[in-house]
Amino acid sequence: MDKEIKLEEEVNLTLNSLDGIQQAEANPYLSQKISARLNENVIGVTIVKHKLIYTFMILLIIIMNIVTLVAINGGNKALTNSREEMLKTVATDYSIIDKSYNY
Amino acid sequence: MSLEESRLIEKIIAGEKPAFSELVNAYKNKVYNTALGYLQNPEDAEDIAQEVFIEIFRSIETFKGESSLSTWIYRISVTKSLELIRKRKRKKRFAIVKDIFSGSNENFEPVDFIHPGIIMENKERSALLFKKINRLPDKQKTAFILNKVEGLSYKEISKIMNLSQSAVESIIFRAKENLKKYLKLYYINKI
Repeated sequence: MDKEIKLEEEVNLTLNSLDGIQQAEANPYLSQKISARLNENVIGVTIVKHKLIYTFMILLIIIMNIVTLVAINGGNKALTNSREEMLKTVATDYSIIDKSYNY
Repeated sequence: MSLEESRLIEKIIAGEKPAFSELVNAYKNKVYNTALGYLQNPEDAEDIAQEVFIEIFRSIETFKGESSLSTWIYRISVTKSLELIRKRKRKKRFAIVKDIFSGSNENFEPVDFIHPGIIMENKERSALLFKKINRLPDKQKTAFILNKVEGLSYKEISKIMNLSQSAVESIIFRAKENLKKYLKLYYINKI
């Protein structure tokens, strides 16, 4: 019985231990810290924007180079084909190609 | 919302930095004290206080004035504090699982928290009480902290939590019953 009363007393004392609590004070420089963070965020967003623009430009240059290379190779092939045809025509004109054994 | 508050908000929306500083200085102790009640760590409470004001700065234009500025600020403080608690719990669970597999034996018990505003003779008891407050469900924790740590009335708490006053009374009653239960279990072996 005594133990129960003691238990109840301890519990209530602890439960009421926040009575009269004073408000804790925030850092007096909190306002400056917040301003600094807000400025950081603005700079951070600007840097990310610039990085994206640079990345896009580099990709564009790479793509343009690839397109140009493909176009040049395609052109070379066409050039080779027309050169071959030209040679055949010249050979035929000057009877360089021997058709005598074409049975 | 009072005329003074709406003028202050207009100035902040217009980009007047002194107006925002005025708001920070007016509410920083309330925000910090609320966060401290939840997080029981001054560094975390300060981080959260910064997060709260940054959120206020970013979303001040969306504030419709249906509640008072103070109610709105308390709501953001409660939300941010609870978010950090959940994040901590997830980290703790992950760390425990990791430790099981790595075989290490770290102690995850929180350090005793002595609130700076507690009178000397209550420091030890209040440290124990704050540990037990951590075990309460979110609504009970919120109502209890706003009432006992922030000193808000049931009416003010009901506006912040968007509940009726009787609901707040009931929640605080249940919080106290739970705390008594936890404390009894603690003291039963000590007496």
